[in-house]
Amino acid sequence: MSDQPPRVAVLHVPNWPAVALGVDAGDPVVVVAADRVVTATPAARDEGVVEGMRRRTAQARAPALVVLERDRDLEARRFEAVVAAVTTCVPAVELAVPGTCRFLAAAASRHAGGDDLLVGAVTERVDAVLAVLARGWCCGVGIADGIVAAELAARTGGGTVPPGGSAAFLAPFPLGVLARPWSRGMPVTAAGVADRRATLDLLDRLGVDTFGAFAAFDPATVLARFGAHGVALHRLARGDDPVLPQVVEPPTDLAVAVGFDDPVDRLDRAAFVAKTLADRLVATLGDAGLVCRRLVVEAVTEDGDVLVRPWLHPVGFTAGAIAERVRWQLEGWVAGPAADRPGAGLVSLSLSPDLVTPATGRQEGLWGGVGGDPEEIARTVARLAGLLGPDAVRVPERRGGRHPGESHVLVPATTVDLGERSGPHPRPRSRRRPSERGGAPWPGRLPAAPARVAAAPAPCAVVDASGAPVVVDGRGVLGEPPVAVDGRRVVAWGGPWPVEERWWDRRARRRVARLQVVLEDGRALLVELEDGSWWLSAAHD
Amino acid sequence: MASAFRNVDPSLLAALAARVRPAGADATDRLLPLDDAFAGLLRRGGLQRGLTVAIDGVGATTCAFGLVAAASRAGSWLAVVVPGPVGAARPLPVGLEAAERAGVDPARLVVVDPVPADRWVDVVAALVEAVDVVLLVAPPAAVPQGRVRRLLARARERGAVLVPIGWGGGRWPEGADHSLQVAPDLAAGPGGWEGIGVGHGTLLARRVEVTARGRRAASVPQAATLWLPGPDGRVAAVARPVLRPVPVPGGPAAPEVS
Repeated sequence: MSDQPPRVAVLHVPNWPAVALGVDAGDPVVVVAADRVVTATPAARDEGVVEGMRRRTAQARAPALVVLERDRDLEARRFEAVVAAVTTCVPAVELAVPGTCRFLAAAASRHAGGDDLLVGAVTERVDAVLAVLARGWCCGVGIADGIVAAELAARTGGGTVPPGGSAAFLAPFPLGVLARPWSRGMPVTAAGVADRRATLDLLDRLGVDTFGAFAAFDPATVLARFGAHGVALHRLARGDDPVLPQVVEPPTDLAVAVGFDDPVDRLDRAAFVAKTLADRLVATLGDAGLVCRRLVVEAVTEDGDVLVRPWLHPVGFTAGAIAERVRWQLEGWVAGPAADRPGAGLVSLSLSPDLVTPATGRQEGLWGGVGGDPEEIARTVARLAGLLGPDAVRVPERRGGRHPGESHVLVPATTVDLGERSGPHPRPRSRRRPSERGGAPWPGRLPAAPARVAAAPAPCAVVDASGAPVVVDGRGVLGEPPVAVDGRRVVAWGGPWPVEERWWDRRARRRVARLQVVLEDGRALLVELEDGSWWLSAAHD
Repeated sequence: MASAFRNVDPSLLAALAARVRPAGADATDRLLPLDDAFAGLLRRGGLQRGLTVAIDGVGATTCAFGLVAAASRAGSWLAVVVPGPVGAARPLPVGLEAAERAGVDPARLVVVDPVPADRWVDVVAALVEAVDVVLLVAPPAAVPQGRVRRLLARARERGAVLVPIGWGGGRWPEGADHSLQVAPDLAAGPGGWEGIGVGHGTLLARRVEVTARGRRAASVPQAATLWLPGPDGRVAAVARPVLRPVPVPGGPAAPEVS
């Protein structure tokens, strides 16, 4: 219960999921995840598309709409450049989610010569970074007393709210913004998201719909009618942030670190190490009845380069979530601006919990209904990874490609936050084909997707009537038609479809001719001719 | 006690009773959602928890995706177990694109691959504890019967559905609760496929005949003609699902089902 809420600055890049994908502000584009619009560019909004809308509804409103699939890893990596730009004028930056970051404004603004000058300096630097990614975007920087006012100032174009002016600034905003996903990480109580939504719902039905109207009530009345959650919300509405009310000082030095004698130069290996570190950290905290909500990840390379980044989690980090943040941070570092890129392998990695709150438990619903508990799944995944090795237990991530095995890659499940992936509320998936569901078009793809795909194609014999291997010439024309595959008679076939990929890269280039064959026993196979021999690459089982 | 519930809708009470059943009790009463195309094939029209549905024949993998798609979309986790080791002659891993097109949600999919034969039972037993549906791709033949029996008992208790596909002899050693035999509808085209001819076209959609056999009350075989996959990648019934009894040699005449 501090008397004076701190001066907080929030940097927000509107439509970040779209900006990260390189979308220009003038194009009508939406980014979707799980069939819902995550973000819509101004041009798309002009057509009547809003966030949260179903993809099909959005397409019905704006026929020219371009639909892209969300890429969270890319968002995190690209945001690294934005954060780097902010850190040129601010000492410590805290990441909420990719697209938004916060920092304490007091010291930085003294250095810059005032809040307005600081806003100008940060905006200018970040806009320069955004201009490299895509055209027509500008960020918003808001400075105010307390996070809510700063966040809203940033999201309404940016600007400063004078000290003590937060309540007046907030008054006209609808209370409903506190139910938006981005406000979830805002300090109310550790487990208060569901209660907050219920309280907001009730207030709305009572006709109290703006910050000002709610703030006008007497706190004692609010406590009597809405309980502790109501009071916390009331304080937010008055612009008096309870600065993370349940923060406890980390009891001892909880930081965990590991050094490598052999520098680690592979991201996946670093991610595994991060996972073991995270397990240790989460276990130590768990024994003390705590969860970590802000974490500082520090990586040091052999050359002495250091990358330090704090990460924030609205509810509390699980080990998987920590490993994922480390992976994001390192991927972003490796893919970032050339000047900052690490020049050597990692020699040490450390995780220090920065903000720790009492664990209130994550309640998933008493009976669960259908579906598994992500924590239970994560435990099983960890157990199997111990039994078979981490590379044997994997989850799919969508990529794209014209070969059947290229549409998804499998990443080790222990480096992924399974709970966040599957989401608390399963939504019905689109009934469209994934090829129509955003992402790049892949000319040369075959319409049917094979149900079994070889990890490494096995050699097979595709022969013509004379028993000689079938040939395809340099122009993609078939010689004699195929008659048998591995001794089975061919009853129908289609192709050949020649594919020439990455012809610009001497090492990665591929020339392949593909053939679909249906055999006498009913099996349908995809066979490929590469370097003069035939390979069985997939089966339509 | 009973008087307190006098004014309560009895169906609500029944629903409540079903939900508060002790966790350790037999879970087979509960159903996972199932696509309409399969509703006529399995008894009770849903994917009954704790049961084993063995699938065999050409098209078994796509059939399995279709069978579990509705449950996956409704929130159930799906695990796929592929025996190993890598390099040796082993079954092809599943196609993730085909799974997604068939309606499986990739956000709740775990692929365990490769699994050595001597670890196979342990792996499946661990998965049964956490996920609702386990797809067993070509289970290794050399698993002792006793261990499989214990595994099935555990799956039944936890309410997990096991779906072995392409089991060697077409028969799950302990006798599956349901077994689906997939056979291409050869009248529809080569291998049941539409869109492909001799030297032209491409595979688009396949018509298959799926025959379901079960135990006890489900012992009357049921057949349905399905798109496996359909032109959009999903599994669907061909036009209206027509159910007809399959004559059992020597058995009593099956009743007519319209």
